[in-house]
Amino acid sequence: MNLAPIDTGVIIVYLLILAAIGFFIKKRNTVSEYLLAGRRLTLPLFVVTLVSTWYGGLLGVGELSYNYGIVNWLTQGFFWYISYAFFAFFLAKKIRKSMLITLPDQLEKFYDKKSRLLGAFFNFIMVTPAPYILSIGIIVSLIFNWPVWIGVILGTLISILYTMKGGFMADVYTDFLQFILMCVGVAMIVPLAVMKYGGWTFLKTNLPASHLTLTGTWTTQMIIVWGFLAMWTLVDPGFYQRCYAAKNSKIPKKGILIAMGFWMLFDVCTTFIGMYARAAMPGIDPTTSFIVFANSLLPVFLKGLFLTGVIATIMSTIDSFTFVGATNLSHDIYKSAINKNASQKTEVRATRVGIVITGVFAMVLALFFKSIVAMWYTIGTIGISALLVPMMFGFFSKKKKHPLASFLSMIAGSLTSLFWLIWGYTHLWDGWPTYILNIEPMYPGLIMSLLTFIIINRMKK
Amino acid sequence: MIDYAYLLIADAFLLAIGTVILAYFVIRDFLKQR
Repeated sequence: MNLAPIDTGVIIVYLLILAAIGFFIKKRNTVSEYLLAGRRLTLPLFVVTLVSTWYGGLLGVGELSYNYGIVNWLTQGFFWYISYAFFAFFLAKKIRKSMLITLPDQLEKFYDKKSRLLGAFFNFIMVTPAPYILSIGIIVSLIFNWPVWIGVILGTLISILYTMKGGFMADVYTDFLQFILMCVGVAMIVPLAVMKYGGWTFLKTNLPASHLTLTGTWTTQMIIVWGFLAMWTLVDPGFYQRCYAAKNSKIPKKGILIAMGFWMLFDVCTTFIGMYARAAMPGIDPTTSFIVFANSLLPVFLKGLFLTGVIATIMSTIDSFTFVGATNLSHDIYKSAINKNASQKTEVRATRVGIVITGVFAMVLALFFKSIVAMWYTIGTIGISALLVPMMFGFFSKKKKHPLASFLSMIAGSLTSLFWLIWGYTHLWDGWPTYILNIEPMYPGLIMSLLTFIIINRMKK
Repeated sequence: MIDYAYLLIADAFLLAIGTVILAYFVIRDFLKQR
């Protein structure tokens, strides 16, 4: 891709602003300040940080809407709205009122320390920013014609730099900038695409008919499994972290509902950008379709702005996820199991080391996996199979719960889905995994987790 | 028949307006805290 100097300039200015925020932000050394911004998140800040952090999978969404059309909205939008609403109405307030710091803290409160440690492990896997780091690598290679690994390393390094010094507050302030860039970038491309190519008739003429139906070419089972995957929200550490950091217990519920409004508008834009890209440019690589399409559509400067928006959407997720992963390592593992008497300063220092470890781990994963969507799916399947059942019993069951039930249900759920996944990937058919009995791995994972929880709980009564 | 493209443009417009409004509130809160 050949960019005009002004477009490259926009991207460089954005990266410089990120670096400047890292440089000028106050260094924070207490746990509450560093990990939760002193629990001072106001409603507008809560919304911008949640919206931008959560929406990192822009290339994955591009891939799905380019390949399959409107079904992307159903699987990546609609199901998630149900999950967000559930979180907002039934969990958000409880989480903020608990005054804890992390999701594994919550597991220890419900059960015991062993559950917390195991939960922290799964938490760490779920928040690995690897899919997003891979996205940055792909974008940088496309824009500057560099190898993917350079972008992977650059993306990781920049996000590590500012979060290391300023902690969660640095993350929130950069999220604000990234929120504006991502929304403006996506919003401006839609009218330009309609003006250049035309409206519904253009799409109808140039897309396969299945692209314009709600379920496309997907089987019911595939659609439902993405519906289950949307339950990721209920155990998403980023959601929990922002609820804990809110200024009061009313903000999380309101904030999630407002953020949901933004996601709804955003999802419609991204789905249709992918579809316009397919209709106008069939045969290009679906993963990078957004970028290639924008490159052909947008004039100088707006192109730079859009590309910056895409990078910002992904960077905001990388920094937040890296930070949550680091908190898992320092607060949930180091402080809880290795150095129980660690001072606040030591814990903050451990988090800074954790940021580096999380970043390096994600870089290695990003270089190993080839598909962003496949990586999401694998991480989500294992994490949800492990955490969903014990967390929901913790929140909603008033009966006495035995800690062993939680611990074993996490192991049984994750191992079952992992076994199912490995089986699928070692029995490929036409390049696609074929699972035992043709059942997607998350179902047996969740069922095993639920059964184990119920049976062990009964036995231990 | 109304072209659905108008709804699409309205959606993008709402997203842009919403972003500006939210940005205003973030900056207002920030200045208040200073």
